[in-house]
Amino acid sequence: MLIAKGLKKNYTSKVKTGFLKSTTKKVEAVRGLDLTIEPGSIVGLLGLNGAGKTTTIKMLSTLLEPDEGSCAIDGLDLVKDAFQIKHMVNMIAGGERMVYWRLTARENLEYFGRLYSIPKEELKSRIESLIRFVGLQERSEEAVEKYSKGMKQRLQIARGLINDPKYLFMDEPTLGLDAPIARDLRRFTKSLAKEQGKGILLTSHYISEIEELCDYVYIIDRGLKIMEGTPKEIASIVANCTNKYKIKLNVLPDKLRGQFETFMSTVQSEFQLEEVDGGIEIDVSSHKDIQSELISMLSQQSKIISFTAMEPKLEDAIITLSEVKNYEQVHA
Amino acid sequence: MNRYMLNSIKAEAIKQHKSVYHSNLMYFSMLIWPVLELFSAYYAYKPFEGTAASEIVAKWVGDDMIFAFILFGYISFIFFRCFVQSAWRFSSERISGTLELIYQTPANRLGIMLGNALASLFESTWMFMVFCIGALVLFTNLRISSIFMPLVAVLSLVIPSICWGIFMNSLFMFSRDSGMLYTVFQSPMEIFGGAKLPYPAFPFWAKVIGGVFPLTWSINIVRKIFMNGALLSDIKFELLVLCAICAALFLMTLLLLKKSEAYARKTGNMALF
Ligand SMILES: Nc1ncnc2c1ncn2[C@@H]1O[C@H](COP(=O)(O)OP(=O)(O)OP(=O)(O)O)[C@@H](O)[C@H]1O
Ligand SMILES: [Mg+2]
Repeated sequence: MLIAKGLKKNYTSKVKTGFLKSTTKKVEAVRGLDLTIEPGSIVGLLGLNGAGKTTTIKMLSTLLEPDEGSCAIDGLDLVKDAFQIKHMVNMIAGGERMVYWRLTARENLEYFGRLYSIPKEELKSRIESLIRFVGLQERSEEAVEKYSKGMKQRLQIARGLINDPKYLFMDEPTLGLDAPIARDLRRFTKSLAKEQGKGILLTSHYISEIEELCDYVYIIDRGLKIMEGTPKEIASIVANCTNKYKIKLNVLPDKLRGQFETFMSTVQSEFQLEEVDGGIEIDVSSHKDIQSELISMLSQQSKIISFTAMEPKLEDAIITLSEVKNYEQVHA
Repeated sequence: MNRYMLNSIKAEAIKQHKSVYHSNLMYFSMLIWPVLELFSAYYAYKPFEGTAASEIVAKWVGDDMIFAFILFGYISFIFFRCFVQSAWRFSSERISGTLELIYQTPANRLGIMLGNALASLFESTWMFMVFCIGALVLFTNLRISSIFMPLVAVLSLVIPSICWGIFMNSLFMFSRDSGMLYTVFQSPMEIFGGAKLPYPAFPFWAKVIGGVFPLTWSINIVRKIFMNGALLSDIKFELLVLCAICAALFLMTLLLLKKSEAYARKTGNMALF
């Protein structure tokens, strides 16, 4: 079991203020994160750009040292026992980098395998089975530069599994992949957890990916955890905190308009009105589910031509949640 | 040496070799450039024949030996340069993201640096052999005291250049800006190392600069062995200085590797480029 407690990481970077002059700027990338990954489970880490996902993964894979907090992986300490931990974890990132393009798939895997000092015979058979697992057997003797994006990504997965890690950290592994290849990758990921019992941490921008794969999800924003739960719970909270409706009416009498505007302000929702051919269009965005209230109010004095409830977006939910969190912090 | 060290050396040497020599043509094409450079260096003297500049050289080496002088200076220089270039190549792994992957493994860091240098040793030795055979055929007036001395010459190129290579490599680990060090180290080494002009003819300040580069001493040894028929006792001093420089470079490498990894773990600069 991987248990992280209160992980913190600040970056200090130099900002040029003039020729030969600079000040240091502190970025609080991760601000006290608790996280648990059980073997055989897939845990999602969700957040917008710059939320601190990659930083978290780099801390867990020993590339960054946490400023504060601790992490125990199967009883070993992330910092003190880094050498042993390196044998137990690995990281896979999206994109085409991170393999040697001039080498073949097999040579790439041999290289990384040797860095882990895996005994020769064991390494040989492991490379065979990994190449088969990711379906590269026909092209394994070809230089990687001739591979397609998806094949490079599959090699990347094989590379991430070369030390047979108990815990695998995947940083946006489906970045830039076509839907069918992304689907393959999700299938791999699932079987790694469910059949091989690996503990997996997965970061993603896509809520659908997280919903499909994860057993448990953490949502972070600007280095802080704003929510955690099962994908079902997350999805319902997301659905609840961002509701967008597109309504078309044939007329909007003044009386109804007044009534509508008061209602909008009592539920703290925003709206936009626009006159279009044959009626009026209203865009509503609300933190509460006000679908039935809207319909009953509007249909009394006008005719609803169409009413669309938009699919909730994770981005909106995160923004809303962090607003709520900030509000709570300020008013605590 | 532990298992991790050996495996890291082996892995890195093989990888580096394979990613550079992906075709057999490379072995010959890489000779073309040094040969051209050598001739351009030699013909740079031609217009100065009879002038002060060529007299300096002639005074120290004798008129008939100028080409041999330049040749041995140059091949020693190229020997070192191979290592610097491979360190330079290695620093580009920061961009390809593979540097982070290496540091994520339990690989022996010094082993990686040594493996990287070993791959360029192969390149260097190949060039050196071709040039040496060329020199032996070309010049009949070379004086070599015994069959054992060329071996000493080779060793006094191999060991210092490996030390120099791993030192450069570990410097490049520090940050992306260390690419600038390539310029800072490379040109002075070429000018003050005595590849083209005789080191003893340098003014004092230039001798000081040249004196810190192991290349300077290696060149002296190589020339003395091939051109003056030096015995071990004639190059005692140079060998001693070279040993001291190598030891210092090795210790600095160890220190730099430790510091640069700790620094990267603090700042996350290993992914920056
Ligand atoms: N090496 C670094 N030096 C300074 N600041 C950094 C460094 N790496 C990341 N940051 C900053 O730390 C914060 C968190 O970055 P991080 O890469 O962890 O985010 P992320 O959640 O992975 O974002 P994305 O979805 O864009 O990948 C950002 O504000 C980023 O600008
Ligand atoms: Mg990221």
